[in-house]
Amino acid sequence: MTEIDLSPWVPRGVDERAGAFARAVVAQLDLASWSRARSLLWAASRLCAFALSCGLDPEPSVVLSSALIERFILVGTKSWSPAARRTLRSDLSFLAKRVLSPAPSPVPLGRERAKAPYSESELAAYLALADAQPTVSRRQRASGLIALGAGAGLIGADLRLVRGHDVIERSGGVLVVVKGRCARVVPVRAEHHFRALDAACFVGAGFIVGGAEPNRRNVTSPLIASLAGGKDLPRLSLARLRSTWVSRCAADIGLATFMAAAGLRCSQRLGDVVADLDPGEEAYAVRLLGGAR
Amino acid sequence: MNDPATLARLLAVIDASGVPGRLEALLPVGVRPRQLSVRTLLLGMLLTLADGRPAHLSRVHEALVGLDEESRRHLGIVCESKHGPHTLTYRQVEYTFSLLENVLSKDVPDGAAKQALGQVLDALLEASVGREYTARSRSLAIDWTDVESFSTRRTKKDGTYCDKEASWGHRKGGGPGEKDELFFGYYLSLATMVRDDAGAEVPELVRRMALASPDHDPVPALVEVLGRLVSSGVAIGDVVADSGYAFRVPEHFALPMRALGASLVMDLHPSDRGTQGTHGGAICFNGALFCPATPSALFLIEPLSRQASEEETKVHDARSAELLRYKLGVTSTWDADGYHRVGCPAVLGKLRCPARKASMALSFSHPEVLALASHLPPCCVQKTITVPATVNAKTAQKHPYPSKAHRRSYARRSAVERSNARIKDPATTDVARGWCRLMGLVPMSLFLACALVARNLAVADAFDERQVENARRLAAGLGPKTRRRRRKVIAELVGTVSP
Repeated sequence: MTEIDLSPWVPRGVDERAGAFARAVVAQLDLASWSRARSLLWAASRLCAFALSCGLDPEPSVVLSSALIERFILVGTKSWSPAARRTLRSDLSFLAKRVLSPAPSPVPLGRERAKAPYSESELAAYLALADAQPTVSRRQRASGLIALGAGAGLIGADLRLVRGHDVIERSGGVLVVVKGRCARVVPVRAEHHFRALDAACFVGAGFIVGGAEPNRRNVTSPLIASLAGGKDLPRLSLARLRSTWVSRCAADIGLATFMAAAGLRCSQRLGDVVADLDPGEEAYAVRLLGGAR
Repeated sequence: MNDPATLARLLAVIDASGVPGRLEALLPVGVRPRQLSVRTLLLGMLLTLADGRPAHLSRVHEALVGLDEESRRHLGIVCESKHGPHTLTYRQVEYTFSLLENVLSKDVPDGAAKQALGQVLDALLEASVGREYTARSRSLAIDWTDVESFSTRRTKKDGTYCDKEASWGHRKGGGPGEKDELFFGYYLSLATMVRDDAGAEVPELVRRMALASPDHDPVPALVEVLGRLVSSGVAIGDVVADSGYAFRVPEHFALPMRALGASLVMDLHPSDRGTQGTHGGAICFNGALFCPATPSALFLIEPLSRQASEEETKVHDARSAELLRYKLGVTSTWDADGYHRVGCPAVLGKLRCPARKASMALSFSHPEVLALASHLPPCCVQKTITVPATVNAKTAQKHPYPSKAHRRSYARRSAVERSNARIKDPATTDVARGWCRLMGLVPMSLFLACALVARNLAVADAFDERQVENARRLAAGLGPKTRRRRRKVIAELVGTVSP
């Protein structure tokens, strides 16, 4: 039972029965703040008013049923802003869960975060390891894999599908023509130009990371396994290679400065912001993303 | 009224009805030919009533002898005799009218119309309704009103009144301060043509009438008249009626009207509203069947008040729309025996119900049945159930009651009130006591029919003029002319809302 006094709350624009219902259900909860109680009271009273308009009894088991909450959100709040509807649904789901089934909710599992980028010394160690491979072929392929991962941010199918002739010199830099679902042209960062071009010349029309069937998911596994250098140098992670490229490009374009100034924290918001902007010409991208010679 | 065009138009109506020939054949034939024919008598009656004069035979005589010389000779009002030209006398008018009355009266008058009289009235009214209008609509609004007899209210020694066929009836006007009261006379039932639902505008012409003493129920009398209308080859669509008709036992109104092919649009009597038992587990409510899981609060819905605000109307419509989600939908037509099939609303995709697994795939914007009965009735187990004619026999109607569709459809009923008002308007034909001083059902019926014919012609003229005016406005980029709003709310009077 909440210790907050709900009596100051006055229902506005709804039936008195809806107000009484809201007080009754919110009083069952153990709430810490008055503002939280007030928002729950408002949400419950609106839901109950909707239930009454549908001819339903103001019983918690009826009014707080998930079907009615969903119907209320879909039908009863059509003209409301999306933010208000999201908040309302969260509040009502919280109320329903706490009032109807007070059992503990499932434990939240950790969210996947972006991988940490490699430092300069770690990357240098992997490159040295690549150069120390016993055969020319493996040396070139390992070198190319690191150059495309840390120099162009390619992973997964994008990386497996790159052939030697997809690495080209153009617009004042070295570019990788990526094929597949997310086809694009990516400038290779200047420090990896030599290795990317060298590997590309070596394989010609073949795949840079090796293999004859790019749809096989474990094509790169043997190559990566050969780059595991004991305790001090763990197994190479393609995700960290990409993260290295992303963080260096972000630093070059001043992304952190921009997001801090704009107060943006979420990449989805960032996607909304740039959705209608022109990505610019190829030469501009080469210069901006550190690909110029 | 001596306008030749009017005269020709009235004669055309009389001739189109075929009534003069039919009645002349029934009248006795004497040695000396009658000077006043039935055709001329009817013309005199129509001229009198078209001119807004009372239904007195002396006025009929005045109207006939007041015609121009050529018309008088042509119609036999002036004829040649051995003593020279003879002009029609009042006694001759009275004589021909009494002959008519004799042949159209029952042998033992009982206050109900003889079939021959009914056919004459039908023919006269139908002839006054142009075919160009009847093709546009099949819907009728029906109602009855009171018509007082001129008879004295004092009884004779034998317990009868001067007017042998009139009797005491009950009337209740809707005016402010108007009370229920008794009257001595007849019930006049009218069937006025109204537009079909979503149909084109039509003039509000009276197509049928029935006059009966209050000793007889006016409802079966009008049903009989409408039966004759259908027998004559005219199909009936909607029949819009108030609760006075809806309240009658189904055998007297609802069932015979449905048998005639009519779709009823009625206001239900307060005693007939609400839940009225079940059929196959479905709840009978206001003439329709509803899911047994319908929230009981939805059954408390009442018709919208006439004074309802816009906001109240919106709430009422939303509530009735919510109720309709639970209504069992009609899935078949009515067969010859009056049976039809209705389906579960969850099966028809109007509702989410755990008893119908497929319906749970519907979006959450549909209402959901939250509590199922432990024992499911047939309407919840079968996809459809059969509904015999006896279920909701009295209350079943075209639109769900009360709903927005019903309200709009029922609003057409005011046309018949306007028909009543027109013949009771002191500014035109006022059928108040003394309007017709002849006693008995036949004289009153004939004069009322003539009054309605005159009214129909005037209404049709006004309608045509309005159509021409609307066409002119449309060509000028204006909308149709609407009636001026007469209701003034307080907010308008104090100036807070612009009128």
